Amino acid sequence: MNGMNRRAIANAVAGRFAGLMPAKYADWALAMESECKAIRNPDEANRFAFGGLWTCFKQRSCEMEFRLKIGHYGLIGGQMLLAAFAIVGAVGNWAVHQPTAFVYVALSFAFGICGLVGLLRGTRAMFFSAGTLFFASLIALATVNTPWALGQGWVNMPLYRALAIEGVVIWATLAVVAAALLTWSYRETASR
Amino acid sequence: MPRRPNTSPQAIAVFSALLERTDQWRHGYDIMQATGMKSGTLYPLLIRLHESGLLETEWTTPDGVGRGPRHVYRLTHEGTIFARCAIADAAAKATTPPAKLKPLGASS
Repeated sequence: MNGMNRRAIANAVAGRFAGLMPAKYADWALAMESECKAIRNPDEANRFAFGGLWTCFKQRSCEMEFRLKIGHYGLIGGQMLLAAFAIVGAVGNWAVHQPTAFVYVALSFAFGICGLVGLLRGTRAMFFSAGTLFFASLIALATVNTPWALGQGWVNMPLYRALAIEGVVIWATLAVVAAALLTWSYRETASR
Repeated sequence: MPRRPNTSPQAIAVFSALLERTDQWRHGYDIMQATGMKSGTLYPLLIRLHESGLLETEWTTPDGVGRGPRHVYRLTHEGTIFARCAIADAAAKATTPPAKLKPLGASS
């Protein structure tokens, strides 16, 4: 890569500072951008630009609003990851025992839908969907322990019980974290 | 024990660089070169020092065609006093030998 390209990268990165930095530090974003443009050596300018990007991220991460966003998207990402794990479980069980594979597919749908609800409708909707799925898991856990279920002779009963317990724990955690994010968000709004 | 704010080794390095020429304004890149710090470490520190009232900032007028204004920094009066104290404290800590621990069961 020649010097002009490296300079162009540094300038492009520096041009993002103003958008990434919190508004109250706008002057500092401009300061870093102008400093970056004043550096003659393109490699030095590049290093400076990426350091500046890190500064913007650091300053931004001190803001509650940004932390809430990270928490919200972290929850969504976590649920999508769990949905993917459940799909892997379904694929692994498909040839061995199809009913178990269907249980994993259902789990994957539940995680995926809960994550999508969060993405499309926000943290509040995610709290309600996680809460609903928490109660659904409780019902599932109670069901697998009934004499009727025990009498069905399901071969993977310990696994179903473990998945139900896992569902209770995961959705309770998700609901609690979503509730905490909502509470902080309300406090942040009220303090303005 | 938590450290006093603005007395980290990085802050001490910035103070030392700025104390070399207290009457002159310094560019960020100039301070980076003097301290060997990266911009991702230096600028959050400069922001913090400015917010603490230890550092003052100014925009300079362009010194050539095609050049934009640059942000420059120097210690405030309060910052100069604080910096001298912080450097002296750091130097004193560096020369004080660590307290020796007595082995368990040893008689005094």
